[in-house]
Amino acid sequence: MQHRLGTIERLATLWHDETRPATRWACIAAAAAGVVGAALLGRAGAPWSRAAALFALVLGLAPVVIRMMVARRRARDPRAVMRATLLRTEPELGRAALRAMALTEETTADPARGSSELARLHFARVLGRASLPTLSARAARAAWALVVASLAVAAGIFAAVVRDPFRVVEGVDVLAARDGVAPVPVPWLEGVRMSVEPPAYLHLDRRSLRPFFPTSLHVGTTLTVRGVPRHDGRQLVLTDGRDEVAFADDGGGSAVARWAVAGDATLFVAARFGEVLVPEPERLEIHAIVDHAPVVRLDGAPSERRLLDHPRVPVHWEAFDDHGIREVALVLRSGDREVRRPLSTPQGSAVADRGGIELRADDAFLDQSYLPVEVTVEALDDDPVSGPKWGRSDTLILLPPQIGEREAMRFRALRRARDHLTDLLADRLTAVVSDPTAHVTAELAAQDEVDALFVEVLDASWGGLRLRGRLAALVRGQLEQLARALKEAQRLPSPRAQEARVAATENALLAIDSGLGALGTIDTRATALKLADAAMEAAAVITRGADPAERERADRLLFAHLDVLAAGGGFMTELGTLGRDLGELVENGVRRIERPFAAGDRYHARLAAEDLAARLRRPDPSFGSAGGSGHGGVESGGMAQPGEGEPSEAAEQMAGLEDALEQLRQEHAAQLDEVDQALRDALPAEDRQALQERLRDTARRVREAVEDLPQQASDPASARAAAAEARSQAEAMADALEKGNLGRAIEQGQRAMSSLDQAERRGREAPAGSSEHEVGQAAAQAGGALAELMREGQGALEEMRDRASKGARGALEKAAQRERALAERARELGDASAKSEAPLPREMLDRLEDAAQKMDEAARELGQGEGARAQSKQQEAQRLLEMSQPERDGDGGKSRRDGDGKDFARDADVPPEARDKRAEDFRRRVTEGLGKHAPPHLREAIRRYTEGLLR
Amino acid sequence: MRAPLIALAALLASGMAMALPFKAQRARLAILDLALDDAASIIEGDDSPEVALERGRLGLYLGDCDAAQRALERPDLHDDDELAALTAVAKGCARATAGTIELRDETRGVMVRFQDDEDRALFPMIVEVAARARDMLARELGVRLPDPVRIDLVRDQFSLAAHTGLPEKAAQTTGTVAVAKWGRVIMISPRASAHGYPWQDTLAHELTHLVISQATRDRAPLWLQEGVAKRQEIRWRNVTPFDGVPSHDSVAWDGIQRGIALPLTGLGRSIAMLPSPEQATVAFAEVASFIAYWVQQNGEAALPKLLEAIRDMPADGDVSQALEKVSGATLATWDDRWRGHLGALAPALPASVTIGFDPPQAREVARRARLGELLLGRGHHHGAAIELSRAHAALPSDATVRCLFADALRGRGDEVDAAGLVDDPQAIVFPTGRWWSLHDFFTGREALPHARMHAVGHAPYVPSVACHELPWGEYPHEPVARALCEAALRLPPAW
Repeated sequence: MQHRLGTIERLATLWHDETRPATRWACIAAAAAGVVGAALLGRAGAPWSRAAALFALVLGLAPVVIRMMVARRRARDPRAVMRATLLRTEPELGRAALRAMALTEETTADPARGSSELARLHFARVLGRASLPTLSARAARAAWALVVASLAVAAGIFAAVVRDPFRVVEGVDVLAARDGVAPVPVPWLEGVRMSVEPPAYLHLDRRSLRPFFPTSLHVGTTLTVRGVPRHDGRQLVLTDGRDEVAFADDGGGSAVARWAVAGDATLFVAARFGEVLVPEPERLEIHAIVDHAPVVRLDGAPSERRLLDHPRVPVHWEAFDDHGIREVALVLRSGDREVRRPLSTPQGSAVADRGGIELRADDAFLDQSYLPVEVTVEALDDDPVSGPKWGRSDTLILLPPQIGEREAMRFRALRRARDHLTDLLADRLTAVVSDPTAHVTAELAAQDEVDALFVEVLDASWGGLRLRGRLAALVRGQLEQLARALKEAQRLPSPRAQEARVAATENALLAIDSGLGALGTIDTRATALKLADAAMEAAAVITRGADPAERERADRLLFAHLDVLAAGGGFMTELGTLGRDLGELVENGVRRIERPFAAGDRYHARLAAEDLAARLRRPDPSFGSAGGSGHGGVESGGMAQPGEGEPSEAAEQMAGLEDALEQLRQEHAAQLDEVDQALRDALPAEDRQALQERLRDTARRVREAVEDLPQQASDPASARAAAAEARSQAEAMADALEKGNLGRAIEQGQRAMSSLDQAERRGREAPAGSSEHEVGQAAAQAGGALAELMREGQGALEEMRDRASKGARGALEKAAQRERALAERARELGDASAKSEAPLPREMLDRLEDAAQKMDEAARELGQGEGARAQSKQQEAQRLLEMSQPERDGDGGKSRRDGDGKDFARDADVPPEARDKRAEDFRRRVTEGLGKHAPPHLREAIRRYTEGLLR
Repeated sequence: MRAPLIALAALLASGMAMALPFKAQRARLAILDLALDDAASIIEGDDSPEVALERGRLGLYLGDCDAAQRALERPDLHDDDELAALTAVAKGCARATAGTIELRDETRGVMVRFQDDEDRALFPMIVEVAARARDMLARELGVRLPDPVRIDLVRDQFSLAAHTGLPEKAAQTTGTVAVAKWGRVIMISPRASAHGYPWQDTLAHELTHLVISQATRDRAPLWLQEGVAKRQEIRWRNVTPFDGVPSHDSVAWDGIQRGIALPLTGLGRSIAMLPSPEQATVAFAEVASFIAYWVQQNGEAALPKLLEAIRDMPADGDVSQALEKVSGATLATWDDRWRGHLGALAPALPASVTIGFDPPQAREVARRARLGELLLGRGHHHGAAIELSRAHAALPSDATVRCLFADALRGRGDEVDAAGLVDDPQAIVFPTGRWWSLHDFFTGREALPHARMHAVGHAPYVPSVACHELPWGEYPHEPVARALCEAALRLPPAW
């Protein structure tokens, strides 16, 4: 077997020796081709390319593996050696050798088949017949073929690599990438330069950066990276590993990329191969400077304040921002309601702003809020990069008075005073007078105490609510009557004087009691309307609570509304008869809402809330009859009883007198306008034209005179504030001049002069060099110029009036008659008031009498054709008329929220045909409304202001 | 065997075919008869639009306004005035009844829904009056209201209007306190009026309306409705000296003389909708006087016969014919006779009574009374007595002044004089709840019968009335009275 095997080995060695070098080179070439191919394919950086690269690699290494497998097999299997060698060169001999080898194996295994030695001998002889040269030649041919193939592959590899050998490195790097990043950094750019451009709103200059040196940049800054690519054709990017921007050719041989800073980042340049980045070794650390929201500080916040104790809440704020403040706003929130009011709009990217306003309890929002009001000041920055941001101050929580609380306090105070007057009456009724003089002295002291109580009530304020208007006039009038009766008793103490004092006290008590009742009714109606809103909101939140997502908040709000209703109902019960009735009804209404709600029945809870709201919107007594007896009439089993009469009609009489005075005031104002118009119409057209041009010129000069004065100020006690007011008044004067209303122009001018004088005085008191001091100086300068212009205006006015009076004699004579009639009416009203149960206070009656006298004088002047002088008297009369009127109580009379308010919520357009009329009606209502409810001394000014607004 | 079955099936089929179109009409008649269970059975399971209107009506009669609203708000219903009116009432009623409470006395068959839960203290008294009035009406008019008698005690005229469809303005003008509608009595709580009102008689009055509607299928004219109701409203209780003072005859005659009396057939849709309380008073007096005269002439048994005749008259029939059938004369004849009777009587109003205007001394009385009230409120009994004595002197028949004056006298310890002010029913014309209460308190056993009941029947929420004139902090022992006293004391004090 050794011999035979030795022979086979020789055969194998012969073949191998001949072909081995060529085979090795072929394997090396194939492997190299596989590697290069894999690298080039893998450079595409896509999943498919990785698979292809693997395939190429496997393909390249396959010859090596095959060669090893073949060698191993041949070592194990002599037949394989013979098939690869002898069978290819001498097939017949090869087959014979295979048969001989088979025989050898069979006889070795089974001696019965024959002699194994003979078989081996036969096999050796057969092999011995083989031609060694033939075998060598065959092996040489095979080796040559392999050499040729190897060379071809080597040439191919060379061709692929020689164009850009670095691609193979890239390919390998890409193939070795993990998570999309290649493991070996590669420098891609040379001569790197970096520069930054901050966002425009920062107003900072563009600058260079030291490349790859850590830096801090504002958010929104644009970073520019520029460099020369080391390798052409690579897709270079600037990236932080998450976002990337591509480099672009700058046309000068460099690549450039721009990066917008949005946050902290580590930037690097990389080449993108499909999904794989091959980074540069160097990195740039960026710390982003964020634009913070403004910081707002609100004095006194956070805290809680009761509006009843603090009817005026100063709101002083300071706002700071790192770059600039665009707007500062006051934000009020209560329940679901929110209002945002601009406080300031700083210019020029101011980084700080401060100011102050006063929030008053009668502010429209606060007045209509019954849930706690959150007050914040919020500032908006000017960040265009991430969008403007609001910074919010701490919260000042204002606890508004409960609905009806202030009214109940006022009612209580007046009732207390009434009760003391009742005590006074009791003393007087039961007094036993032995010494009339001493008794009068004692009564004087007692009456002084009662007077003091009423004065206290008249001066008091309940969260901004005061006793004003007709009721205050009624009280003052009654106190005067009491004082007069006592004075009479002092002058002449007698039993008759005692009776007169008792009667005066009775009258005063009944009149004040009547006024108190009227006050209660008015306050109850106003309170009911507010509570109706609360009930409607309760209904709305009950509905909203049906949505599970909203339920928790809606239910919380509902309980808050129910608390408001319950408390409001409680206060209402204190407000006299109607209040007692409706207050009790509200308390029941709350129970009606709570009952189904507690049982999970939202539907009926909502219905009950709506029913309460509907009822409160009609704040009439629960039971009424035209007979006014308060007893059941129809269906009651008994007949309607006669009315019981009113104990006092003082309240009604005072209301009637007030209306009559208001009517007189309006008519006289109309008379004033008519005279004015008559004088204007009497002026020739060319004179009017010339005068108008002159006035326009004066108006222009007035505006110029005050243009350097400030427009607004936060501290009302400052020179700046006075100057700002003067500017506003001077501009109003200019407006009036342009409109040809010289009278008003002069009046505004006088006010402006007064304000300028005040500003100058305050400025003088301020330290030299301070802004206040400068404002004072500017005011002094403007004052001089304005005085001169005033003189001019006044001259023009008189000249115009003189000329006009001559031409308007007929119209003026008619006006004189009307003026006399109005004077007569004023006197009649005074007399009627003095005789009524509710006489006006003496001071008002005197003014009314003075007004009548001025009207008489005006009538005389009008009769003599002295238009200018008549107008002056008329204006005095008008002012006196206004001063003789009780100041209207803002909370009394018809509520400004009459109706359901829905009309105001609609944003519908007015049909064209109705537009003019609606606009006219609107103007009239606004003019009359504002004029009516203003304090008398301001009415005229407000009317003019309103007219200006609406024109 | 098969022939009878086929015939029965045909009969049933034809019966059903006949019944279907008349379901609504049958249900409506059942509702008017107050046979509400029958009405419910008739329309049960029928969801057609034809019966929806009756289902809505039934809901209103049952006081289930939510169900009525649901039934009436179907989009497939033919929109007409009746539907619109019913829907509006159903909506108003649903709103007004939300969150209310309901108490029921099963034994006496009375159900009361309270809009204000504080009125629960009145429940035993309401049941008592309703039960007695129902018995009386069944006895005298021949028709018994079915169980339960439904009463809604509402808080104000706003809710009264919502329940009934009566315009609120009309209710305010005439001082309407109760309406019988939809088979229910809807009545304002006496707490709505500071002085209260005679709510017990009012309840009896309204129950009479229900009975007449039931007895006549709602075909009785207004004059008959109100005249009979006026007659019956006091007959559930014992007579008091104030019943018929001033007499209906005298008030009616005064109205006729002054030309403000309306013809019996010209009272409009409701007395509550007349333009003034004065006209309403005269109208009530007219119809009450007429019915009293007619009953007097024909006997008490004629009244139920008249109701029956009206019910049975043909669709185009006239009440005058029914009247003629029962009493032998037409309405015009009876009207003439009655006016002749009044003319012959020429009854005069008591001197202290005026209708439609205040007596001349009313102003002075009001001034003194208010001063007295204020002084009393501050504990100045002597001063109050001075003022109130002047008021009393000016109008001695005024019960309110007498009561205030009595308080002032009591306050200064003059109990005897105080008692003298309230002991004589002849001294006053219109008693108030307080008068009854003080009368009961001062005169004790010699008081008019049931004075306490009348006191509560007028002004249950006046604390001194509800608490039997006891000192502050003391309560009546009887549980019902104590509950009422506590409810009265929970009311906010007068200002």
